[in-house]
Amino acid sequence: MSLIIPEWFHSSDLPLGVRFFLIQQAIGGHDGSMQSEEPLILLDQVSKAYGQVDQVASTLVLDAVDLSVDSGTTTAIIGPSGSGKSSLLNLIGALDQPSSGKVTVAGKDLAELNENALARFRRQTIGFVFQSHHLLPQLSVLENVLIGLLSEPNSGLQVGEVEDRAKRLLDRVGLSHRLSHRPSQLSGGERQRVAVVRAVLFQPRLLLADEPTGALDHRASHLLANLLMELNQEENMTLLMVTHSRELADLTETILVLKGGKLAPLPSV
Amino acid sequence: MNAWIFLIRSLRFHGRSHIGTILGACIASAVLTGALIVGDSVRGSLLQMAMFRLGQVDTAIVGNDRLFEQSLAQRMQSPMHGKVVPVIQLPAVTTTQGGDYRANQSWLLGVTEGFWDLATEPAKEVHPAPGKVVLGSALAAQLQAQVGTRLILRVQKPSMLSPEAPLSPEEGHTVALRLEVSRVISDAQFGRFSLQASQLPAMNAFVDLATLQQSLALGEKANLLLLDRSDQSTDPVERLEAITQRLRDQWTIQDSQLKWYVQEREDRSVAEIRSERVFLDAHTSAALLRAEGEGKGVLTYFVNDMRSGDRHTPYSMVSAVGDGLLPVALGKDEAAINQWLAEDLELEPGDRLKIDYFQVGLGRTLEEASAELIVKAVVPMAMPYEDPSLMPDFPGLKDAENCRDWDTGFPIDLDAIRDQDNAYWESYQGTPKAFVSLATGQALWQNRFGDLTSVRWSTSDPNQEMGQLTEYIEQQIEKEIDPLQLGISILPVSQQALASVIQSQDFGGLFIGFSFFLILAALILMNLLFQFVIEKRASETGLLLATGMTLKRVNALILREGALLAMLGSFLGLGLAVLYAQGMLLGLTTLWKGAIGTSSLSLFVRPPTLLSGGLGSVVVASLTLLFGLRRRGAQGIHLLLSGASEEGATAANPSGRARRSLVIAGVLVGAALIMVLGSYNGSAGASAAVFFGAGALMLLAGWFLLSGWLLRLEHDRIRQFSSLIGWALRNSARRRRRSLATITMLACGAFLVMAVGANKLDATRDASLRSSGTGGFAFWAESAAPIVVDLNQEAGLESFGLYADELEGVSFVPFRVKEGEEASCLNLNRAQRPRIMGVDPVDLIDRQAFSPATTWQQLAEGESVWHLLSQTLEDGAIPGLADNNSILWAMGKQVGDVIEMTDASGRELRIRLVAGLANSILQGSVIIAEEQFVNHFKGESGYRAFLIDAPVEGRKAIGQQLSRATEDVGLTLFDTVARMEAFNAVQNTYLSTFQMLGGLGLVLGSFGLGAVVLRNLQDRQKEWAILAAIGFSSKRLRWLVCLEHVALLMLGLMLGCGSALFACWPSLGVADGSIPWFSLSLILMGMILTGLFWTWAAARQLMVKQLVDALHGS
Repeated sequence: MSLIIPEWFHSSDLPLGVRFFLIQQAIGGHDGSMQSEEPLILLDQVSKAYGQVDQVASTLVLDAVDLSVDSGTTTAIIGPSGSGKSSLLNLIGALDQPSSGKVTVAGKDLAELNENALARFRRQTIGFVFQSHHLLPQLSVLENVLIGLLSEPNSGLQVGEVEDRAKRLLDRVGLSHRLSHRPSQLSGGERQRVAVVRAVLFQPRLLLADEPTGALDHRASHLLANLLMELNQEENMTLLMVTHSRELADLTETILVLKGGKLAPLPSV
Repeated sequence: MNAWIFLIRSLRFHGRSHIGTILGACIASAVLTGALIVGDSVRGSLLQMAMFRLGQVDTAIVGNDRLFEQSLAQRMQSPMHGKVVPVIQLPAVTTTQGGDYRANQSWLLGVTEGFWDLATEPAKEVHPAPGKVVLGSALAAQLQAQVGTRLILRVQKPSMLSPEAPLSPEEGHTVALRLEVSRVISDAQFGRFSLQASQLPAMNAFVDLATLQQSLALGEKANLLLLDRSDQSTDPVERLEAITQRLRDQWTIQDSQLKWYVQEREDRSVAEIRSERVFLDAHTSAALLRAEGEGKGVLTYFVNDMRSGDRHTPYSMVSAVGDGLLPVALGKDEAAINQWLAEDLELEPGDRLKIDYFQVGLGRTLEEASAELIVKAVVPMAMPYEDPSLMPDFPGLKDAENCRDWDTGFPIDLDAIRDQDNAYWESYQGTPKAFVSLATGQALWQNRFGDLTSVRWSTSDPNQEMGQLTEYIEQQIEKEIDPLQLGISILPVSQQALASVIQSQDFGGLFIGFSFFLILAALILMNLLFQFVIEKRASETGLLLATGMTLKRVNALILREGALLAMLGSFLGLGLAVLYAQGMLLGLTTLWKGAIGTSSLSLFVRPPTLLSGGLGSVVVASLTLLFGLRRRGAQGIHLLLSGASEEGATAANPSGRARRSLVIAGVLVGAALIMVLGSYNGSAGASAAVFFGAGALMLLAGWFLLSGWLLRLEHDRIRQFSSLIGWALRNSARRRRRSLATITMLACGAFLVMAVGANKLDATRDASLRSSGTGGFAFWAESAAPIVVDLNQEAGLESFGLYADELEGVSFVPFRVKEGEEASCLNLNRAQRPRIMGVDPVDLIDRQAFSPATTWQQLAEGESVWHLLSQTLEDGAIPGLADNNSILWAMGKQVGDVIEMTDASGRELRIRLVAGLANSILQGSVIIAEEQFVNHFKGESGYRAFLIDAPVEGRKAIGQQLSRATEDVGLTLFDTVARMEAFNAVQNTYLSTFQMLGGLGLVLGSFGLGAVVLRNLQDRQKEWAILAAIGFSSKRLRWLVCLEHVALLMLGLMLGCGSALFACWPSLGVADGSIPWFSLSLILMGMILTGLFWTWAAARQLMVKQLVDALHGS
């Protein structure tokens, strides 16, 4: 058995302990081998309908979608409202289950994972950035970023090290002076940057962003878009986002269009 | 960042939203802990009452019907018991001098100054002077007496000879004492002194012991010794054994009421022991005959007639004597007659002599019997035959100078007494005219009072000092006589008091039961409000799940938050608990006094109870929250993130689930129907079980039915949209669980209120039927002094100045009573020594009175429950029965159990409870057959309780007439329906308490409805705003909201009431089951109005302008 140490292990500013932890989790979760050679996301004939499938009132939003996303890439999915972009992201992020088809992320068939395994998968592999920041109003900025520490209290992580990284990241996004502020004391852009830091704190392999700039003004959108791209480079994480914004989509390597439940590459103009 | 920081931040941030949850936990804790405090307070009060009634008394030596020497008190003193005080305690009828006030069930106590030292608050100065009486506050209140009030106390003079014994005079048993009240004393000063555990204070009057002894001509005697507890170190069992041994050691023949009579005759000295009680009981006789010195037994009897052919000699003494006492030896059925009788009847040896005499039956009944004897010898009118001392000291005979002065207590035909008979009495007094052997005499005349009238020792040795002989014999006798076998009881009253309190009715548990719905409503409300907060924070849950937390961990975090809130609420509730307990105690001593019959309950707050109540509340509240969280499914995280609460989620396969719910509802209705129809046998006990069983099934069925209906309503969207009502109903279906919780809360409340109302007991229903709880009798009567005559006979009535023709249709069923503790629901203490009553079963078999609730053995066809009293049980126990409620609750036993006690002869008495009577006026006592009673409690003379039949017309006048005529014996008549009502009052009061607290729960439930309305308004603010935007007026929107929630209110009430009525159906057919429609309607109306008020109050928050503003804002 050969062990390929991922590049991010050397380049990341994650504390060494955290990096070893993530490596161990990755090994333990995949039959002892890394899956870096395979596509990070693989969707095979995935459909999603809302309501009872056998009922007239049910709505098919994704219709036999196939998708393959390689590790370390950036991809944007665009499409009109209601086309199923968020639904697609929810399926990839294990927030929802497909009506049919197979979703494989980081080599794992999500349908085969039980509730606990899915939670562990989300904790270790996925980072989410939502259109609405979903910061908890009762917590400070730093505490919101560290909320993931509550997921597994006895994970072996050094809290102090994680906290140092959180502060560095917040400094990186220009919020070091806001550590103890409440979300209500932040601007929309600042809130979203906090949400991004929370999503990348544990350096997930896949960062899913659902309309991350949807609620921001142009300037804030621009800053956030740049931040996401930079993080993609610095943290070596795969970025998949859905957006209305063509400007944001243009920053990614691949643009896909979701329409009528089908996914297709952006037709060249 | 850790879970605790998260928790603290959340609590601080959502503090205001959590106020409702804290309030719910606070109320639940207050009610739960308050109920426990009520329990502590009742027990504490009972303990305080026990301390007041017994003071420092540890043990009591009770004479029962016997008197012993007062000096026994000094002899019983020991290091273990430094203070031993003698008392005479007698039941009395106390009246004010003008007769305005009366207390039939009072006690007269003759006490020494030392008595007061034993009180909780010793106060020698209260001791009454001669001619004065000190009253306990209860008696003073009953008589409206103050210092200076003059009273008449009538007591039954403790008779040496049982008033039921043959030759006991009828008159002269009652003594009236005229005394002036010198002081009214408090409970702590021994005002409520009593050996019997009861929360009702004894009605005590205290006089100086010596004065009482003088008034009753008792000499220096007492019938009660009180021993203090100087030495607490010894084990109670060892202490009791030591007291018993000391009593045996110190017991003298004088304590046994025995006396020496010494005669110095020409040729010999004769020493004789007689009893002040005339007859020597079997134990004493045997002890005397066992003593060394060859004592000879004598049994002298009064016979009605001796005859030979047509010659008669009326009213004579015949002595049965032991072998050797007389020179003539007599065999079986042989008699020696004196010269006078031989001449009077013209008899010679070998002739036959017929004797007619009375045999002692039950009570004072005498049955004439005859015996035929062969004359063996005619003895001269000289010693040892001409010996008037062979006749015992029959009261009414011994001092009579003439036969016509005889007062024998049974009818004497004075016309039959001839001049020569009178001359014989004047010359020879009670000298027996005939002699038989002791065996023959005992076979004829032995009775329950004894088998000898004296034992004689004689010596012809001039060198033997009679004094030395009697001293020697006395020592022997004192070793042989066991006071316990004479009927003396040693009662560890202090231990018994403690046991009766410890085992008393658990009011804590009772009030937790009563407050059940209030606690439940508080918990449901708490859970509902907590769920509201959690639902509001759905996106937070979604986020935590999205960041990799498991649902279990999220729930654990939420539960921790909830538990902290519950803890806060619970401990805040402890303060309220004390107020709640105070309120309940106030209710128990005023509004619900029927349940406990006393107003002297004090609040006792024990820190351990507060702690356990608080912790219990935290646990219960946390479990409730856990139960609520347990139902949180793993809903789509994306939905949670979008802020949708779980309730809004689409149920999987709704039509299938709706169908399943309807099927389950159908099955449950079927089961309830089978239960109701199957149990329709008219038994009250069964109908109570069926009521709750069928009611619970119907409630569940209703829940499933509504659940299915709401599911269908939610998904069958098109049809209901056509009207405002349809729309309102469909909106109810949108938050199905929330709607069902509201409906369930209201339905349970309505069910309980109806249930309680329907199960109240009505004493008037079927009261005239023999099978009812009154037995069909008109009166229950209890007398202070025993009535020894047969009130069903003209002679018996005439002894009270009553005439049979005035009392046509009136008949009596008399009960003998061995005093003990009231073993009914009227006594909060657990009866340690229940009262025993003896009745002739035939009296009740003939009347087919009362009904069994349960029997130990199956009754044979045509057999009444009273037949069971006459059976002989294989294990030697005697059969007894009691009211079923008394058996279960007051004695803590079951039918088939054995009550073990000691009878009047110190023997073990085992009474097996062979049946429990259905709710009846005979509560409070264990009833055995009279024959067994007389056998085991020989000293208990006469009858002290009566069931009285009287025609409906003129019943009141008959009652008044009987009461007036029996004033001297203090006969108190109770209307049987009123007595039944008094017993029922306990259950009915408990039910009222339950109903009232249930009502409070419903108020809380309707408050919950208001909370649901408000929450729904908040949840659907955008919906209202859009409706407002498209032209709905505020009024119409409020209508919609009201319709939607009034539907929940009505569904809840209909389900609860419907289930209760369905379950009531069988109980309507049995005794006591009736539905108080009026009061129930009032309660239901109150519930509807309260619910409407909260709904309306919540709906008023809906303002179109604000809604439109909200819409603009969003």
